[in-house]
Amino acid sequence: MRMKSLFIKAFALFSLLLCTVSCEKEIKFVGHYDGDKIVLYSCAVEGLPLTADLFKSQFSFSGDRHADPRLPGATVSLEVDGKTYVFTEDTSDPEVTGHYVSDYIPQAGDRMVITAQCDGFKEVRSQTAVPAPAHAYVKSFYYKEGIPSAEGYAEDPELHFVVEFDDPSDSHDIYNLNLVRTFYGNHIVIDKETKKEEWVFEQITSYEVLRSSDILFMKENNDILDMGGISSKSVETGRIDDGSFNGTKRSFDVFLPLGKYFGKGGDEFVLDISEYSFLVTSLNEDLDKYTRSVNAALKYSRGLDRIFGEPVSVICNVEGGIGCFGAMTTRTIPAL
Amino acid sequence: MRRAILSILLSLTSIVTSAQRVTISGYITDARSGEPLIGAAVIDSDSSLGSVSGNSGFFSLSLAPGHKTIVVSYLGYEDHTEVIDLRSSRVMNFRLDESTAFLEGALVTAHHGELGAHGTQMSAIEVPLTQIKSIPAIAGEVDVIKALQLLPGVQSGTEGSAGLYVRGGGPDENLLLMDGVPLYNVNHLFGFFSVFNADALKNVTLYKGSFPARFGGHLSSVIDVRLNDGNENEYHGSVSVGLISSKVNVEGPVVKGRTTFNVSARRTYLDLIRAPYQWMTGISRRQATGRDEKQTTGYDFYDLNLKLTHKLDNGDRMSLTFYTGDDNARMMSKNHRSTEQMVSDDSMKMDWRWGNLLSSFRWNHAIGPKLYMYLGANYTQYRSNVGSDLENSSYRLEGGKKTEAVRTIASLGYLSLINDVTANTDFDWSPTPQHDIKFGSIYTFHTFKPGVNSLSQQYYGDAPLEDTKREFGNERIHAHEAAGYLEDNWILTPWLKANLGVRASLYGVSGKTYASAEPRVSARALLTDDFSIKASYSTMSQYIHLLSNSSLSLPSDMWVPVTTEIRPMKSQQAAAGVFYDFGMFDLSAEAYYKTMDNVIEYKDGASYLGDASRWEDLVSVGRGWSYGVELFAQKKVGKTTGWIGYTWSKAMRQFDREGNVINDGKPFPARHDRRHDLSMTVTHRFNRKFDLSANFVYATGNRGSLGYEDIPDAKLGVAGEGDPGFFYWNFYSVHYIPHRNNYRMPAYHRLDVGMNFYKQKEHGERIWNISIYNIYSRLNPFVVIPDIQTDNDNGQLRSRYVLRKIAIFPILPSFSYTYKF
Repeated sequence: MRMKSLFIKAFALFSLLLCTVSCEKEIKFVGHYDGDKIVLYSCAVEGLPLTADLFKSQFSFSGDRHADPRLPGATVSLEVDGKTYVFTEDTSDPEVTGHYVSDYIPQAGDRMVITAQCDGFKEVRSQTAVPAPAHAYVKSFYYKEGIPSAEGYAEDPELHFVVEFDDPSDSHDIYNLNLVRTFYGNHIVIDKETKKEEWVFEQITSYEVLRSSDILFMKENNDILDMGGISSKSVETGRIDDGSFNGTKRSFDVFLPLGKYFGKGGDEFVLDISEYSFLVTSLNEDLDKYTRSVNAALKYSRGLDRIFGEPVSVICNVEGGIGCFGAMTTRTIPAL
Repeated sequence: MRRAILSILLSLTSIVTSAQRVTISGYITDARSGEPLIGAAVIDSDSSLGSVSGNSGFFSLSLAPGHKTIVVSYLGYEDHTEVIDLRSSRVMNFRLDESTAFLEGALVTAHHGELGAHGTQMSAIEVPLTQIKSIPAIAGEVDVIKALQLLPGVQSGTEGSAGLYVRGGGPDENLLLMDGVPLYNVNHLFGFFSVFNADALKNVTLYKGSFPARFGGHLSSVIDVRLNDGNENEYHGSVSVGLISSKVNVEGPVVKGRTTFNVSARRTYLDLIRAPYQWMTGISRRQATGRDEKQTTGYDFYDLNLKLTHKLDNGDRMSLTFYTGDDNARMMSKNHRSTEQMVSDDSMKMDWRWGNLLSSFRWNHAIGPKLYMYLGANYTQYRSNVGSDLENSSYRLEGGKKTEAVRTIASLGYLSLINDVTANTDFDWSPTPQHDIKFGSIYTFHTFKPGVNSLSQQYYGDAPLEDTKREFGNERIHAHEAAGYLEDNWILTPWLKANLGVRASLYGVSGKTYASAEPRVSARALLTDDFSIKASYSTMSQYIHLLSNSSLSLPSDMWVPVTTEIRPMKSQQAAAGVFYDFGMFDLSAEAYYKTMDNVIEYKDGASYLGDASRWEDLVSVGRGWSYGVELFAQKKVGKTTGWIGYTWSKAMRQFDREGNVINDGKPFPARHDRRHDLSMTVTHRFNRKFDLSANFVYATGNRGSLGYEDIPDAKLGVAGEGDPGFFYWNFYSVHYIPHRNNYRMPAYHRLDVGMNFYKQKEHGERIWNISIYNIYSRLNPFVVIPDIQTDNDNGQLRSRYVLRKIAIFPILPSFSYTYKF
């Protein structure tokens, strides 16, 4: 009986002591890390000299989180149609190293291979093809009256553009839309010599990227496309995949709610809109995959998505390393 | 070959010539309680022909007329032998006595049921309830699902969870049956406990493959749980008091020998224990801070099982089963702060409720000595309602007037409802000793209502600044599911036996109908009297999906039906193995290969709070495959019982269809892809007063997605036209995840020990149970999270990226007191 009582008391004491055991612990990473790699970013844009940016990846748990990841002193070369072009390192800005430029200007249809080597790293290699330009044009535009209210507009007036895409080729093309607007207004300029900020009234060219703009939207058959809400568009918004074309044509209604448009900014004082045009980009598949995955990864890294969302892996196309070698072609089409 | 064909033809003709035979049929029950014994063997020892009792204890055996020695055996019971002169068909009921020799280690007659070396059934395990009840448990609460997690081919989710991952399948791919009725959520306390109250159970069988055609609707496993009918002669019961819950079980006759009842109820009292503590800490906090704060939290769950069984004069049985169980988690806080200049009020309310309701009526009727019918009508419901509301308002006081009033309101609600109304008929037909035929049909009317609502509003004075409202689902979806099946457990030759079956199902939802034919084949070749090889092939279809945010079983998980876009999941599984009934040991080794089609996974970055307005937009549809080897050794009788199971397995997923691409279309490991899984459980009964049990578990860690390589991620930007840098890269530092589920969490292992002290009292038996879960306090990860750690390095603050694991059960001693009468 005495033994039993002792046993129960010892057990109760043991239980109390255990309440102090910590349940959170820093642990070592156990897994396979196959060393730092070259991270290469380069985008061949039709008509513009090709550049490349090189970085090195770092083991996240190395403790050296603030080391400069840029990678100077590398050898970067490009091969197009059997010819080799060597990049030179751009040393014009000592604070920005690892930037390489070539004198090759990509053309639509080019197939190119880029390689980069640097001591202590595995060689990386990637290839891309410059896509054909988009066959797109503004078919029409119209102004939709708003519904006035005592405080402004109950429903904004809207400026609409009907943009039509032709897709005669069999190739898989992906397009993005950006609105270019030119206007006169005030904006802040930093004087290079005095480093002071000044308000300047002049002509401004600004770009509204459909995917991220909060004043530019797109409809198809009266359905607003990929608009989850006013401030959070989908990573797919504005991405036009010709695989989804029914036939060889597809039309979109791109519009600006003008009430929001004029109210935007606060610092800008918009006097007059002088010109609208669309910048249509054709992306090759690698760049499209990479861009979408990066947009999703950045979205996932913020706010509630980080708690409830599924982690995102970034789709790269660089053999032996990480990064993206993509290509695109752009066309500006006048709108208004 | 010619002999085999000849024997098949002979067997076929034997159905036609069955008129030359006579049949014995009846019920096999426990002599003391009258409880039907499921899976008891009835064998004619001269011809070695036999039969096995069904779920109501009914058996039927057709034999040639003459003198027969009938042996009835059931694990843990004394064999019953009867010599009869069988001239015509007759009814024979057998009442078996519990074996006293069983516990003393004496050899008991080999169990000739369908799961051992003699049966065609493979990839199935019946876990003795005595073993389940003696396994050390978390907080002293014995749990069936936790016991099943110790079996080979079955993996748990995260630490403590009741999720089951069977042969590479997901936790939604398990058909959990309570007396033949599906339960959609079997978890209490976010998955730490299951809804099965061990006191109410009679029999638990797990099927991991080689599925008999009578089961369908889920891909990966069937967990067939049968409840006790109740003692038809005497009143018995038990009261158990544990650390966090208490339970009571009472059974007995309503009308002696005819009508029985079995009631069990369980409730946690964490909320009651916490209430005075909260009251005291609330007072002390108000005194310390001077703020008007109120905070209450609470959690409780309960469940109630009721079963009524009535035996008619003709031996028919009618039973009514009822189950209800709910979890309630709530939190409320209010905070009022005021100064001369400012007043602010915060309030937060969280109310989560989820649970099951099940009722079932069954009528079991012997149409004749060879044909038995089960008729059932069932209703099952799972509902969860998860709501959180947050409100904050603040304003300045200037001259006694309110100014700059800001008010923020946010709410989030999840609703998941699934109702099934089912009618089914099942028949057991034993036309000859060579054929045991089962056939039947089932119709289910499903109603789903999944939904998510979120609202975020902000006001400045009366002016709205932000108003974001999202709605997802919230509509009732009706679906019809019908299925028919036919299976024949066929003795082709004395050494070759096969179970051939087919199940056909139809599913109609939103104007679309899906049809599926599912062939099931398994065969056993008996090489010696106790050694056999078996092989099986089965296909399964599943018409519902579970949308789950995590590997935990949260009430925010939602059941959704297939749609016109998301097609039914299908699986095919082939398995082969060797089985050896070695005295008191059952040994088996099995290998399996399984493919799954139309499985779903969340798209990269997808969440309910994102942009999608339909759940179909959040998921991708793809395929999966898994394969593995399972070794199992079980000792069911004697003073020492238990098992050792080991699994080597691999589980992969691939999503490469257009519009459904994940991981660039390349294969990736499933979250529960664990290479090694070892479990051992042993119970030793020293004497009638004391037993000791222990579990040891080792498993390779689960997988997850983790970025452990820092790269500057680049995003294309647009700059001034004509500039050489017309497009430029914006660089952000990110942790690069090369592919989904690239990281493996640390291995999981633990040792649990439990002991039971028994003492006979005047009116019953008292049992003290002491359990220590995770005795060496291994911090098994519940979750592994990356974090930034800031260290003071000689006055300089340096930050570094670290990994942290959070464990929830370091070491958990517990005890419970049970009184049985």
